[in-house]
Order: sequence, then structure tokens, then C-alpha cells
Amino acid sequence: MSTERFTQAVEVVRRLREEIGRAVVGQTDTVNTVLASLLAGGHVLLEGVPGLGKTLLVRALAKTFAGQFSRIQFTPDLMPADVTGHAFLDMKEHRFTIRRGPVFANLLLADEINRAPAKTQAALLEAMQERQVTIEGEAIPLPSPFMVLATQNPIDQEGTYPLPEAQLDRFLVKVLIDYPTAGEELALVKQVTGAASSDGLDVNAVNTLIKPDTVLALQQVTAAIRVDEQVLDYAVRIVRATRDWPGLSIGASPRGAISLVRVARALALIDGNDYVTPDEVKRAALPVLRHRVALAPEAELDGLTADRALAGLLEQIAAPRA
Amino acid sequence: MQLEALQIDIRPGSHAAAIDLGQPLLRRYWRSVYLAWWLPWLALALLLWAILPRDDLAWGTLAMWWLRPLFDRLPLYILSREVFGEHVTAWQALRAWPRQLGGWLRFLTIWRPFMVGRGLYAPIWMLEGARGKFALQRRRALGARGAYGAASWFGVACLHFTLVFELAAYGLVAMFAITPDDMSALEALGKYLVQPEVVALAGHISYVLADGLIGPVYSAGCFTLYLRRRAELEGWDIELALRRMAQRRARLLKPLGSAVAALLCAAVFMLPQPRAHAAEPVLSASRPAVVPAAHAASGAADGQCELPSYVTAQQKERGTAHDAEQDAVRRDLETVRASEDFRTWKCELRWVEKKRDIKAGKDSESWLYRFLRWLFDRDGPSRSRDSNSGIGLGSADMLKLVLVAGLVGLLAWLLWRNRERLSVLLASVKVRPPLPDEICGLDIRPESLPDDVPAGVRRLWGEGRQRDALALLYRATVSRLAHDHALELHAGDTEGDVLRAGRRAAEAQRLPAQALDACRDVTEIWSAAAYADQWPVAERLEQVLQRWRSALAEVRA
Repeated sequence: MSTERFTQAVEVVRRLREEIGRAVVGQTDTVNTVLASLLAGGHVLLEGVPGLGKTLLVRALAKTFAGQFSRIQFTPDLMPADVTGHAFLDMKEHRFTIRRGPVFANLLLADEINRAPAKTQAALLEAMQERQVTIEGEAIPLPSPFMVLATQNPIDQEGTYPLPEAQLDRFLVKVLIDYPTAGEELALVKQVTGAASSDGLDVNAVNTLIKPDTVLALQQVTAAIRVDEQVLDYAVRIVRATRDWPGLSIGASPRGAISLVRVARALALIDGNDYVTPDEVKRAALPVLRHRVALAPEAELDGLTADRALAGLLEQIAAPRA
Repeated sequence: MQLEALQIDIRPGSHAAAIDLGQPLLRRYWRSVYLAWWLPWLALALLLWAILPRDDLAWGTLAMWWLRPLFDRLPLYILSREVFGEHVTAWQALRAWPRQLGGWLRFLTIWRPFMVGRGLYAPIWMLEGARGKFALQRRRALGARGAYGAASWFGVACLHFTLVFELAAYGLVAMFAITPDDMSALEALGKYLVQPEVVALAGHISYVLADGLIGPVYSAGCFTLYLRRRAELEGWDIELALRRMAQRRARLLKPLGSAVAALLCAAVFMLPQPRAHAAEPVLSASRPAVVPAAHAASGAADGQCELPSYVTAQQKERGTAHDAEQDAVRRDLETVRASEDFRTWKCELRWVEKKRDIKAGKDSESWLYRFLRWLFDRDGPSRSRDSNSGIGLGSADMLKLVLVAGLVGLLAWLLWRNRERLSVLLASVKVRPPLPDEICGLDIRPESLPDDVPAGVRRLWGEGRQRDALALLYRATVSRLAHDHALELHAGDTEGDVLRAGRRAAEAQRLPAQALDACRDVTEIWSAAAYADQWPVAERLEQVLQRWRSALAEVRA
């Protein structure tokens, strides 16, 4: 990887962050993690109470990017064919024609994904893992890059269907959007109430910067970032520790370690480094692992959360020192 | 009831969950439970088989079914003790069994075996010892909110299981016991099971096997349902939570209590000797003294001293008894009031000084002691006559009250006004954790570093040991931060974490900005070298070393 290409990539990522920052006030870590997922070529599950800007963040990201963007509002009566598409009989030509569903896009926003039953959620499994959709026995590849950004609301449990483990594992990261800080909230309210509509932040201010090909190029640069043996070892040690850590009943799979390194690489690029340090692995650990581990029932009854258990683990796993 | 000793976690939930809880309980103690059940159960089965004619063995099976409630006692006896941590063997349960049968025989009515939910009520009679109307009330209370219904449905389910097992055992017995070699099992069943003696024997054996298997399951399920209903009615979970809180508080307050006790002791020794004892009208060194119960010390010698004045005063006020009956009632009353539970005074032996000089003693008392005595001595000379007579607070009492309230208020106001200074003071006296010797395999003890770190780094760099040189520099930086600037570092801290800790310390004015800059420089060149093999040029290293020397080496010097 040439230095010039790397420097260009860092500059593009910096400008992407700036553009997203025009619509999304604050939430730096969240924006960085979502951007890291795009660079690492993974899918994102965003979780947060209503009104914290989950959908806005996705729309802002989509605006920076000239590819196709589609949105599916998941509802209890949504059918798998509404997501993937279906074949219908064309009466004029007397043959079956395939009508492609909204999944055929570069960026797919699956809004409130847990409102649809597991059958419909599973329609995304093939798309997320294989990057293709099978309709009437025909496998149709999805456009590249392809990224699913799903949102869900943690507090509204009535009429929702929790995502199955297999589906959760397909998401590279799970991002918890928290309330903004006082300063961020002040800036946000000022920005919204100063606008013409005074209704909410809009993404019109965000400029389109890159094309799908640029995203692919950025992903290639990310994949070429150097990871030292010790850093790899650190990532693997963290993931292996989740398997027998007190309070966790199910640990992360090897896919967790792979995802950890992928996201750490992307975070290094965002930081402008062409190598990964243990710090990036540690920063990536919570978003990458929180949905891949399961709390033991007694730990859950004691009020422990996956984040707290993982934070304790990260504090104990010795960071490498060369 | 020793609720702390409860071995199972009873939580609020459905009746079905409560019944389910019985199964792990039974699995845990299955050896003793099944052994205790099976010994008499098998003995009875064999006895009936031996004494009854073969054709009438079905009556024996019916008798076993009818006597089944007697056997429910055995699992209940064992589980009810094991659940509170008391170990019971099958033999102990069997020895206790005959004692429990008397009452049960009374209950062996025609209809009792038909009561499929009887397992819920069994502990009321057996464990609580409730009888008659009270037992009826208990049954109503425990069986309410669908509990008896749940126990009944569980009984029905167990009955079904028994039937399934019985049929299975029936087939098994028929196949293995009566199938000749030249016949298939079905043919044998068809041929032999029409013979009454075979039917009766197979039925007897299968019933004994099936009910012997399911009986303890039913008893265990009903017992945990009973426990949960009691927990619900009596709030065991709340009580347990409160006890745990009390224990936690006691553990937390223990060191504090010791400190307070030590302070009080010190205060007592610093005050002049309590001459007031000398002023007490105590004549003998070992004469028992009457003190209020709340102030009594240990080592009391009850029953050796006179009654307190207020008790004798009350007795005098009553006057003489009108008749012998009233006198007897009064004596009974006095006996009750003199018992441990109702007595408001306590008798104790106390050593007091014989030689005393009241005047000299009073003069030598410190103002603080006199003030405290005036404040708290109920029999002091300044005590108002009004308050003595119990009418109300006297002027001195009112003054004391106002004074104490004023002092407390003044103290609270001073604390509130100086809260920020106090918090700074407390923060400054916060006990620092012991300094770490090693972080992530790096020896960060100051003595492990060379006296002149930059010189050591330069020497290693000059020898071509670049990684060692930068490792030494980073190690020295972490050591300085931990030892000289009291940064709290953990085993899992990465380079970024160390830097962030440094930034927080700099914001709290605990780390100079120069030191933070030096730390940032060292981290940058160290990370690039360690994780990307990107080595700094010599000029850059020299620049970092100079900054390091001015920012971090000076503190050590």
C-alpha cells in the first residue's frame, strides 16, 4: 500500500466524518463505529431509545455516498418477499419476471428490525452473509458494496421479536446510542430550532462525496492496514476469555475475533494510523462483542449487563507490550 | 425458622415454576429419598404378595394405593430438613416415620387417596403441626390463589405418568417374565394376560414400580409449591433481602464502629476520672447497683439488689390489697414484671472508689466533664422539680434542648459552608493504593531503571538495540507516571489508556502539561515501533529524549 494512497484514504475518511457531522451533532464514538463498519465491509445494528438520531445517522451516511439507498420499515406483517423481491407472471410476455426487492441497494436501512417476525428477519440472512438473494432458485448477487444498517428500540418490547443469534452474529458491530452530553444536546437544540422547519435535523446539508467504487477502494486500504502478531494475539485472547468468563454463559465465536481485527483496522484508518495498536482493538471490543456473548441467567438477575461484563474482562486481559 | 439456611432460591413466579423447583431438589437428595421410600414400600408389596391368595393380589395393589398417603411422609421428612441445611439419612427418616403415622391413620379415609392435591396440605399437618380449625384456616390460606388447583393438576399429571409407567412396566413384566421362547411378546400377552393370577401379579409389580418412581416426584413438587406459597404469604424473600442488607451494613459498619469505639475510649481516658461514682451513695465496693436496662453493662448479677426507687414508688402508690385475691394477682403480676422479658432495670456489680473527697473532686473536674454531667446526669442537682414529677420539661431541660439543637445546627452549618474545602481535604488524605511494580509484564519499579534514562536509551540505540531502547523509554515513562504522579493503572491498560489517564490527571492539575506532552511523544514513537516496525529518526528520538528529561526526569531529581 503506497503512502499516497493511504493519505488519500485518511483524507476521504476525515471528510466523510465532517459531512456526517453536519447532520449528526456529537455522538463521535457512534459515528466512528458506523464509519468503521462501512470501511470494514460489515453490517451495523443500532440500538437506542427513540429520538437519539439512529435513522438520521444512517440517512446522513447514505447522503455522503452516491450509491443506491433503500429503507424498509419493518412491521409485524412484513413478508420475506417484501424484502428480497419475488417472481410474478408477466401476462404480456407470458413468462415469469423477477421483481427485485428493496434489498438490492448499496445501503439498506432496516428500520426497527425487531418489529418483524423471525421469518422476515431471516430473509436478510443470506443477503448479509452471502451478499446474494435467491429468488425462485436463482441466486442474484447484490450490488457492491452492500451494507445493512438495522435499528432497534430496546425499551419497547411489546409486539417485538428478538433477533435470533444467527442473525445477530451477522452484524459486525452493535452500537448502543446513548443520550448526548449536555453540550452536545445544547448544540443540537440550537441547530434544530435555528433551522427553517424547526422540526428536526435534516440531511440536506450533507454533501455527496464518494461513489460506490470509492467505498470499495477504502475497504481495500483498510484491509491492507498492518496488524502486528502481538495485537492479533491480544484480540484472540480477548475473544477466548469471553468463553469462560464469570457471568457470561456463551462466549464469542472465532468470527468475533475476525470481526474485532477488521473493526480495529478501520478504527486505525479513521485515526490516521497505518498500523493497529492494542488501543484500537480495545475500543472495538465492546461494539463487536456485546451482541456475540450471552449473560448467564444469574448474572442477568444480578443486574449485570454484557457491556459491564466485557468491560471487566478488558480490564483484566493484559495488553501486549513488545 | 432459619431462613438464611434455606438451600433453595424461592422467587416469586408461577405455581408451575414452584412445582418445577421440586425436581432439582429431589435430584439432589434422590438417594436418601428413594431409599427411604422403597424400603417400606417394597416390604409392604412383598408382604401383601406373600399373604394374599394369587387370585386376590389385586386387592393388595388397591391397599397399597390406599395407603400411599402414608408414604408421602418420607420424602417430605427428608426434603423439609435438607432444604434448611440439616442432613437427614434414609435411616433417620425411617426411624421417625412410625411417630408420624398415628395422626395419618386417622386421616386414612375412603376419599383421601382421591384428593389429588393432598400433597400441598400434607406439610400443614406434618411440619406446622396445625390441627382442627386452625389447620382448616391454614389450608384455605395456602390453597388460595390457585395453589390447590395447581397441586391438583400436578397430582393428575403424576397420575398419568404413573399410568404410563405402569403400562410400560406391565408390558415389560409380561414380555420378560412370561414370554416363552417360541412365542412373540404380543402372542404371550394375548395368551397369558387373560389369566387372572398373571394379570394380578403383573398389575401388582407394575404398580409398585410406577408409583415407587412417581410418588417422591409428587411429594417434592407439592412441597416446593407449599414453600413458595408460604414465602409469598409471609414475605420470606423480603425478609431474606432485609437480612442480607443488615449483614452487609454490619460488615461495612464494623470498621467504622471500631473507629468510633476507639475514639470514645480515648475520650473517656482523656476526661478526668469520673468522680461522680464517688458521689454516689454506694457504701460497699461490691454492692450491687441498680441501673436502667439500656445502660447496663455485662456481668450482671440479677436478683441481688434492691428494687429501683421508681418501682417501689409505684408499689407504694397502689396501697394495700383489698383482699387475698387481689394480693395474689399482684404477686403474679410482680412475678411477670420481674421476668427477663418485662423488666425495665438490671442489676449489676460494680467496683467503686471507697475514699472520696467530694469537694476536691468537684473542683478538679474539668469544665467539659461538668458540662456533660449537667447535660446528661438525670439526677443532677440542677434538675428541675417539674420534670422530676413528670409534669413536663423544666427550664433547665428546655435550655439544654435549645443548646444542643443550636450546637448541632451550628455544626451542620459549618460543615455545609466548608463542604468544598472538606471534600478537597478528604480527597487529599485519600489512601493511595500500593504502587504497582509491574504492568503488563513491564517492570516499572524505579530501581529497575537506570539513573539516567535518556543516557541509557541513547546507549542502547547506539548499540543498534532500537526496540530495547524504546521499550526502556516507554517503561520509564509509565514508571514515572505511576510513581511520581500517582496515576492509577491496570493490567489491561493499553498505551491509549495510559495516555488518557495522563490527560485526566493533567486536567485535574495532578500532571504538568509538559509531562503529558512528553508522554504523548513517547507513546507515539513507541507504538509505531512496537506495532508497525516504524523507527523514529535519530533527530526525532533526541528531541523526544530532551523533552522527556525536562518534563519527567526533573521530578525524580
